[in-house]
Amino acid sequence: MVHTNNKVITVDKNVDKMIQKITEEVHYAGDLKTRTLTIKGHKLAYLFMESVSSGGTISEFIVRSMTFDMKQNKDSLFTNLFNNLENTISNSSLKILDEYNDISFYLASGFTIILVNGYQKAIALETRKDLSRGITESSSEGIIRGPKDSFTETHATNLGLIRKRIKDPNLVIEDVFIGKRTKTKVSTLYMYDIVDLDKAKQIKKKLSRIDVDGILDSGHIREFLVTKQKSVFPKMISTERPDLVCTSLLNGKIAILVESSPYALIIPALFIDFFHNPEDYYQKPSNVTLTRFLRVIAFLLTILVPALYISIMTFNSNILPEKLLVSLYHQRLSVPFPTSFEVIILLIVFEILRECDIRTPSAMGTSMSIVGGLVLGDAAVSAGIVSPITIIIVAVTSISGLLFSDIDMINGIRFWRLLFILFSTFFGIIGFTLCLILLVTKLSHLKVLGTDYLSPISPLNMTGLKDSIVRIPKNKDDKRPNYLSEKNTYKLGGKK
Amino acid sequence: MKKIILLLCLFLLTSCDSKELSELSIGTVLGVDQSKDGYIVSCLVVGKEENKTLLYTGEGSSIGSALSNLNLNLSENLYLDHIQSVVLSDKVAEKGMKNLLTYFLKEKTIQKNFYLFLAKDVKANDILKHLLETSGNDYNSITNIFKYHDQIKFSDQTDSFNEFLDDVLSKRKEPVLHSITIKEGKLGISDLGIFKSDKLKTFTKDAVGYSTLMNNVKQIHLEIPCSDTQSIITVNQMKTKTKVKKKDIYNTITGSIEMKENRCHFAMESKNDKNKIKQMAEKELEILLQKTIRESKEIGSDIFGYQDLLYKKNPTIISFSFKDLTINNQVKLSTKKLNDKGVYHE
Repeated sequence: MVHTNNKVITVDKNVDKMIQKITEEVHYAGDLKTRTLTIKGHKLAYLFMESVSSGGTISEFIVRSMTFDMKQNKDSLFTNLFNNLENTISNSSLKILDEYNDISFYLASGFTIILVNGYQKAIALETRKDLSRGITESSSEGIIRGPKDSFTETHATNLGLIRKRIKDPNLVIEDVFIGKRTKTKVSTLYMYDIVDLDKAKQIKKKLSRIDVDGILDSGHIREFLVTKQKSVFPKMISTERPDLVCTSLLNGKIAILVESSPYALIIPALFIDFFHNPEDYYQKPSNVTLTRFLRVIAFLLTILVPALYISIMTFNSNILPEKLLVSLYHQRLSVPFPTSFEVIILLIVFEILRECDIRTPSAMGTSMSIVGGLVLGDAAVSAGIVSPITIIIVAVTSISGLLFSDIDMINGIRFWRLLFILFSTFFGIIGFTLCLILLVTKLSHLKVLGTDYLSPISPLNMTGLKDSIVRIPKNKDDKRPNYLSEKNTYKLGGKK
Repeated sequence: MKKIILLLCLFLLTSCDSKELSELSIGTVLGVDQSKDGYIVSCLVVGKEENKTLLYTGEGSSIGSALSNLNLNLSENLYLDHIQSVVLSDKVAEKGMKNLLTYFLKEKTIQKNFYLFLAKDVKANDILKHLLETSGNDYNSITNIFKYHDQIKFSDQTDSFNEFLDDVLSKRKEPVLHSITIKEGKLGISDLGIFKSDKLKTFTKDAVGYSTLMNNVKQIHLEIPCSDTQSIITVNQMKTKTKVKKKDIYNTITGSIEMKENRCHFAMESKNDKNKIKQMAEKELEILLQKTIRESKEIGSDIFGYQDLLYKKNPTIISFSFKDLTINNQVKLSTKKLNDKGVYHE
């Protein structure tokens, strides 16, 4: 069942020896409970991990059904016990283990292991304790209208949230176990008749190659899925919204769900996907188009504004209108630092504030924003350390950057913003333009699983453009873009 | 290797020539006067305190040396990339502006789209002083005088440095410049300076005539004399079309007459009455245009660029004199809006 590098050892016949061996293997863990029973001359034992197993289930059902009529033939004792358990406890999964190596995995997974003296087998019975929190509203991807549920740390629940939405038998869920020590279940999800199976194959191949001791979150997986092309912009979306996962699956993308991680990964993620929001599909298309234009403007603002400001202030002040120039001139007179230094320092302070805001408990957040935002900003201006216009520039930059919910996108933007600032500081508007060319070149060069990162804008794809920046109504958007998958392209009607 | 070349290119292209805004002194208006053996340059500079402008002067044998002498008084480098207008005294213009224009053309730190003005009968320095006292922080005050004048239009096409330089260098068109002066303590528009090549020749009072012939004016006011007084007629929607036929120039001027002040008590009821006024207005306008043309012909300075038009139409004509050029003006005014509605009758 579970592949480990150890060689196969069978279960020992002697119950006492087995208990000793298992206890030693888990290094006398405090939560391992063992119990030996002798019922009518037959020696039985059961073991479970108190921390992950439900004590009530064990004592009520298992022990009761084990004390069945044991008069039978010794040869069929094990089979009878198994059948008896299977008949009495119907809602838990039941397995016969032949290999000793499996035992510790099942113990850790919340199973109770039943050993019978004289048999080289063990019974594993699911007695998992419910360790999950309930399904709550998404905290990182807020929404006004639309489904509020989000993924939790329970794998089965997460799969359920998707299965609930897509009842098609073509929804494929393939499990692999990754991590030598954590043995984390990782599921790959895709629509069999939509997805480009080559892409699914590539993903599965990459997953199976992962040889690491522990996977604790989907974030660990994504680092193994990176391609040769290096980029600060994310090539996969990580989301806690099941509706976004389902939309992506229906468009021919692949989702990866990792046990005990509330974040699903969606591959491939294209550049345009970060300008979309699941809520876009719950609002009027015309309004959504406007919102998406705003997102594009915000993207340009947050990347370009500080660099443009620096290059204009230090190299190309001749392009400013006179009145603005004179106003900026007076604002800058009292500032002792160069413009670029001023901007970089303020941006760093803002990033520190943002990082603090995420980590601090919400009770402290208010006082932090007062001290950080109001006091620091106002005092810095009145002390003449920074000019008010720089505060405005940094504020516009930061606020526009916060429009994007994907943290990897925000970090990517941050990197390019800094690059732009450096180019502008040293080379003015020429450096700025060069950096812009670099950005466009880099973005158009990128590929994710064979799909161009800038699709559908470059290369131009008219089907994809129907839901890129402009969104046309669902009843007119009849085809799936073919850059993701060329199978089964019709969304509307019965055409195949 | 490619990356290194790219970076090197950047250094060569930009020369890392960064200048903080606070390290500059921003000049807004420049004035040039003639001194004994050179120039006196005055400059309005944006002050360190808000809403304060300062005037600095410098003297030197050339514009460059005068400017660097001026810079000695400043704590920062004088920044002329935002210069709005340059006022030249008539003495400078009369002496010839070759050196001056060359300096402005070759100085990289000066933007070439500033406006040029002549200071008539006053020193450029006095005009700058006047600006300093009256308009303080308004950097567009000179151009604004022209902006709100309904007859004399000044535009990028006629008054910017670039255009002036083009005309100076052109063999078939001579430049003009608007002049400003101080009358009774007020800054105002004065006559139009007519140049021949780079030298100022004369001033003409009829800037309106020039603007009309250049199709650069929308509305003019005409005075129609009668027995003891005169009526004011406004011609709207002015349009001038210039055509070249053989070796002659034909101007067709159209417009619509409106009577603003009927001091002569013209009757405007019948068609006959209206025709009478129309004929008078057409005659008056024609006289004005003829006068403008005559004045420029006297100096032999083709400020209208007719020679250029002729050349473009017929490049084979090699030499001819502007003085011999036949210029026909046909004025056609409409009387549609001419009525005495709402006019007070005694």
